Amino acid sequence: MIAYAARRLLSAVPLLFFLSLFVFLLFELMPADAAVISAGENATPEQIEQVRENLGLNEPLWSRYFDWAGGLLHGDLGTSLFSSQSVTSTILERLPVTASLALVSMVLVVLIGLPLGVMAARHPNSWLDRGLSSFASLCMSVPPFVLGLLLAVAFGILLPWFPPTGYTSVADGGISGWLSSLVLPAIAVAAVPIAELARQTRGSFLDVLGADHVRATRAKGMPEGSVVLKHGAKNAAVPIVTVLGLQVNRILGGSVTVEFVFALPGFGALAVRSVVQQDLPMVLGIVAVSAVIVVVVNILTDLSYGLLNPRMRR
Amino acid sequence: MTDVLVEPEVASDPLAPVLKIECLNVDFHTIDGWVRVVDDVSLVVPAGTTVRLVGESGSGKTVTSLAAIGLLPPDTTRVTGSIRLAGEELVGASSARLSRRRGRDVAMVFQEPRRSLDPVFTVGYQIAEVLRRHEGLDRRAARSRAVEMLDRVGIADAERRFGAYPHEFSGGMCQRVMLAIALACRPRLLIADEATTALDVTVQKEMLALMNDLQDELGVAILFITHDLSVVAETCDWVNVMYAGQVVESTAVDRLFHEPRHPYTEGLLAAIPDPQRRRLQAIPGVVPAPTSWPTGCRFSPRCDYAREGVCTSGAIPLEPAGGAQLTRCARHAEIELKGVLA
Ligand SMILES: Nc1ncnc2c1ncn2[C@@H]1O[C@H](COP(=O)(O)OP(=O)(O)OP(=O)(O)O)[C@@H](O)[C@H]1O
Ligand code: SF4
Ligand SMILES: [Mg+2]
Repeated sequence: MIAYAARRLLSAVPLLFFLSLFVFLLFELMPADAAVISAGENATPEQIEQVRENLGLNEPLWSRYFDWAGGLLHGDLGTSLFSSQSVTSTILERLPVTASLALVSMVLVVLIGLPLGVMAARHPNSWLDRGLSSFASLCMSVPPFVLGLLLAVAFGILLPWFPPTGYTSVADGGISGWLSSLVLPAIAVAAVPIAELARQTRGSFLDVLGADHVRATRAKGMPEGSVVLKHGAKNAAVPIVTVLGLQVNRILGGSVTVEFVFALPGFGALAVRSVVQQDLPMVLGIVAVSAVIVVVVNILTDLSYGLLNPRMRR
Repeated sequence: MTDVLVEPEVASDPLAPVLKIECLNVDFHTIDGWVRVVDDVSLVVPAGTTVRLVGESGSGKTVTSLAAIGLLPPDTTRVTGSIRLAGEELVGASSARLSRRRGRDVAMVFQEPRRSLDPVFTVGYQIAEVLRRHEGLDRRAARSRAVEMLDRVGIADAERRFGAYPHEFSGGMCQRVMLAIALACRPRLLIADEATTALDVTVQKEMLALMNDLQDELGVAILFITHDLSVVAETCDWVNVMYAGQVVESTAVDRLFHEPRHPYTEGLLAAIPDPQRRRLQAIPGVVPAPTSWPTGCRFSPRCDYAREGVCTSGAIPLEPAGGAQLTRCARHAEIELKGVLA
């Protein structure tokens, strides 16, 4: 199991390099010049040339790429073109905000998406099921940042229940301050994942609850709660966990724009700013960290299959 | 355990029927509205005996048995009439009450043993679970009883096999496990719905022998459902033949083979595959769907003895045809039917 996880992590390394190369080339194709950006607005041509030399931009592309990759192996992601801060420390500083947002969103996804899906599957084609399915379609058609704006206006300004913008850390505002600064952005981020999870949960449970072995479990006289929540859930779990794993990616994606809307000083807002500023080292660092997160989530999802389904054990 | 409510009549009479179905009707809610699938079925299973329910595919055997164990979905079915299990009325009983009866007083094994076991729980867990549910055993006691049951149904090395998953077992072994689950709490009635049909012939024989042994040992009554009359000959006391949602003949097993009193039974007997007789002939045609049951005798379109008028004008009642034998044929007194045993 551990060997398997290690193998999977290693297999992610080529992916990471491919991705970073892609971003490297992308930036190479852009008209903007990192030296010009870094030197500031009123720099003379000489100053710019100096910066270019300092940043190593006169080196050929492949050499710059391997420099960066070499640093990556030591956890050194380079230096921001703007703040002249280390990329690694900037990202680490902002990660807790995004992690908080992702955590609260994930809790919402599981606590709302799962029960809605199970209820819909228990009473297929009931008014509840139909209502949920329209609600899910609605959720899926609104982009997270639009929902974020609507929520900020409705429950941050018109009804000032939650702070419309900004982040409060646990250290500054305690758990309740922290939570209330995250409620609206988390709802914005979680809406689509909730809908997707509910849809998958409904489908999986519907299949399982109609299976012969569920009828046999009922024939043993097991109470309905055990039939649905023990036998049903364990059988339906694999596709549900798969979709849940995918929602982590979605939540990270959604947090990019939503953090921007709510002015949360997180990873996503950093990504938006870095791309706008064409801060290549920062963008590369963000890509690298995101790729690692996605790969780790995929590995966890894969490992859970073996736990959930005895036929999938290696 | 609070539910020791047994009717006095049953408590005092060990030969009282363990299952008594009277005038059972089952309707399904479909897109065409309510459709009757089981029509006025009555049958009795005396304690400790084996009663068979025979008929071609689609005649309503499974629906009847699911009604008897309270497993029809309440929102899409309507059940009327009376089903009494050890004296207790099941029609109209709450689902919580029914679930306390299932697995304890009445149990069921199904046609597809592999698909009837939960693939993600061990076979041992699935046996222990029913013991913990109905006998309130703790984990360890349930485990050791489950191992005993596995051993009793002929799974070798039961202690080690407790932790096996269904996909590690053959179909025959899965059906043995199903039997262990069904009989773990010593029910009074076992419903076996085509329990041996999916197994190959030798395994089928072993399975029937095992059910016989366990029946003798535990005194459980068996309602044995099959579409194959050849299985009926084995050991059985009484046979009910079903056709298009109705019981068309009800008789002791020896009478059935010697002197069938319904043309459908005669047809089924002629269809028994028998290497000595070599004249296998299936009844032409198929069982009509519940939406297109003919008026009058439902078998009339396929019946060689059918007469316009007497057979097709009105519903045919189930009538005595000598002794306790019952038949639903308007012409049973005038026609001569062939059995298979001399
Ligand atoms: N859930 C349902 N909804 C509507 N009709 C149903 C449903 N279940 C069964 N039926 C119908 O009831 C009739 C009797 O079915 P049943 O399964 O009891 O037959 P059977 O005698 O057990 O046949 P088989 O040998 O194929 O198991 C069939 O015509 C079937 O189409
Ligand atoms: S009633 Fe008529 S059609 Fe029906 S079985 Fe008897 S003889 Fe045949
Ligand atoms: Mg059936």
